[in-house]
Amino acid sequence: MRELQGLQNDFQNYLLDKTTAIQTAVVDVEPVPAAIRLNVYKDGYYLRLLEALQQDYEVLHALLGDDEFDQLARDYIRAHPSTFRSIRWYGKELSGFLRQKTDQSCLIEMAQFEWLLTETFDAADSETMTIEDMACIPPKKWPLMRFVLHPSLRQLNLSTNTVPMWQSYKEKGILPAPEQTDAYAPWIIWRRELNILFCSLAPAEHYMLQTLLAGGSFKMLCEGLSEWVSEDNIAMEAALFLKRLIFDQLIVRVVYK
Amino acid sequence: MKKSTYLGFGLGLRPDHYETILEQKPPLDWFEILTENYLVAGGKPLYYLDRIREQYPLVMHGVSLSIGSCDPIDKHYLQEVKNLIQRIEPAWISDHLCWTGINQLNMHDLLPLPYTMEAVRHVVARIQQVQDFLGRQILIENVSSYLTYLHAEMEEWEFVTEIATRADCLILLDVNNIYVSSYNHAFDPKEYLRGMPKDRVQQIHLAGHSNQGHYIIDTHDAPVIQPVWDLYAIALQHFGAVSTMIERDDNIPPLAELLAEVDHARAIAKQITEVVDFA
Repeated sequence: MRELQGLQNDFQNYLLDKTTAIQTAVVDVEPVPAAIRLNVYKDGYYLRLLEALQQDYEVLHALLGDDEFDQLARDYIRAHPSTFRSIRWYGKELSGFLRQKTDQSCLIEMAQFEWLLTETFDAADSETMTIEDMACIPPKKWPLMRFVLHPSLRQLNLSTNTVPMWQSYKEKGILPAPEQTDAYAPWIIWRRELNILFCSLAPAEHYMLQTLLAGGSFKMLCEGLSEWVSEDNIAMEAALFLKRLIFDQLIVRVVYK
Repeated sequence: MKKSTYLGFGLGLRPDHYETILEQKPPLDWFEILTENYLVAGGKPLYYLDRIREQYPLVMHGVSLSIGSCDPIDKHYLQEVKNLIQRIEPAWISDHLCWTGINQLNMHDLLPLPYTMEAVRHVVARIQQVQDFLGRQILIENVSSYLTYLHAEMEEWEFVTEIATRADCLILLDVNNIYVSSYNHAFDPKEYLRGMPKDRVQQIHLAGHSNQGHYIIDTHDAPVIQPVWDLYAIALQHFGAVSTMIERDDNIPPLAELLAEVDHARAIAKQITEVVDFA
C-alpha cells in the first residue's frame, strides 16, 4: 500500500499546486502530454470549487464582480482545501476568510447572510406548535413555560442594506449601492415549511428571542420586557410575540423545567 | 454473487425536475439519486425525496465513498448512508471505483487508481469492509480517466473485473465512461465490454461529454452521442437486459428532453431483445 499511498499523495499535491512529482508516474505521449492530462484534473479541481462558491454566494459575486470574486475564490481554495464529504459545505468558512481580507462590512455581511440561507435550506425539519396547542396550556403554567425553537432558526446582525440588496438582485437583477447604517440591526432567518423567511427584529423582540433561546421562562421574558414596554402592556406584548412565533412556525414545543 | 431485480429504464433525479415529476408522473421505471445530496438534516431535498419515493423505486449513487483512498474508510459517512438506505429502501447502492482524496482532504473528483495488484488487494478489502457494514452488496462504477500510470500492470477492464470478482460486488457500467476513456487512451471499447463479467453488470449509465479534440472530458452536460448509443447496443447484445438510465449533471434541460433520451435507450433495448433471447 506504500506505493499507492505515495502516488495518491503526489497526485493530490499536484492538484493543490504544491509539487509536480506525479508527472513522472504518468505516461507522457503526444498528442496529449502528461502535463495536459494532469491539468484536466487540476483545472477541474479549481473549477468545481469555484462553481460551488458561485452558487452559494451569487450576490456577493455580483457585488465583487467576476475578477475580484475569482481572486477571492482562488485565495480561499488555496487556503482551504476541502475537508467536507459533500461539496455543499465547501463555502462554509468564506465569510470568516473575507473578514481577514477586507473591512468592507457590506461584503462580509452579504457572505454571512448568503451562507445562513444555505444552512436554513436543509436544516432539520420539525413539527411546530399551533395556537390551539398553546390554548391548551393552563394559565397557571404560563410563567414556567420555556420554549424549544425551530432548528432552522439562524441569527445575524447587519449594519448595511444587505437584505434589500440581496432581494433587489434576486428579484430584479439590480444591485443597489451598499449603504452603511448607524447601528447593527438584528435579523433572523428560518424555514417555514419549505420556504425560507427572514425579518429584522425590534429591540424588544430581539431581547425576547434571546431570552427564549437562552432557555429563559415566560416569566423571565416578561420581567425584562419592562425596559421597553409599560407595566400594563407587558403581558400583552409578550403574548403577541409568542403568537407571532407560533404563526411563523418557530416554536417546536413548550417545556417546563 | 447475486444480482437484484431488473428495474427497466430510469433517470438521474435532479432538483430542477422535482415539481414536474410529482405533477406529471412521467413513465419512468425508477430514479437514481445522488446520495450526498440527501445526507442532510431536512428541508426540500428530503421532502421531495420522500414524495418521489412514494411513486418510484430508487437506487442510490454516491460520490464520496473514496473506495480506493489510502485513508481509513469513513465510518461516520457510511452510517449516514446506512440511515438513508433505511429511509428510502433503495433497490441497490453504488459508488465509483476511484479515490477522491487522502489525508482527510476531499478533491471532489473521481481520481484514477493505478491498475496494479496492490490497488486490487487494497480496494477489494475495502469493498468487503463496506459490504459487511451495510449488510449488502454494492455496485462499483468505472470512471472516465484522462491519464495512464506508467506502472499499470493490467488493462482497466481487467482491473474492474478482478476487483468485482474478488470482492464479490456488482458493477455499474458507465458506457459513456468507457467511450471517453477509450478515446483518451486509444483502446477498443468493445474489448472492454467483452472483458466485463456478464453476470455482475447490474446497471448501465448513459451520458454526454465534451470533446476537446485530442481528448474528451466527461462533463455530463450534453445529450448522449451516437457512438455511445452504438456502444450501448453492443453492450446489451453482450450482457442482455440491464437496468439503464440517463445521467445528466450539468446544463440540465427540461424533463421532456431527458425522457426522450430514456425512450431512445428503451427503443434500442427493444430492438435488441427482438433478435437476442435474454432468457
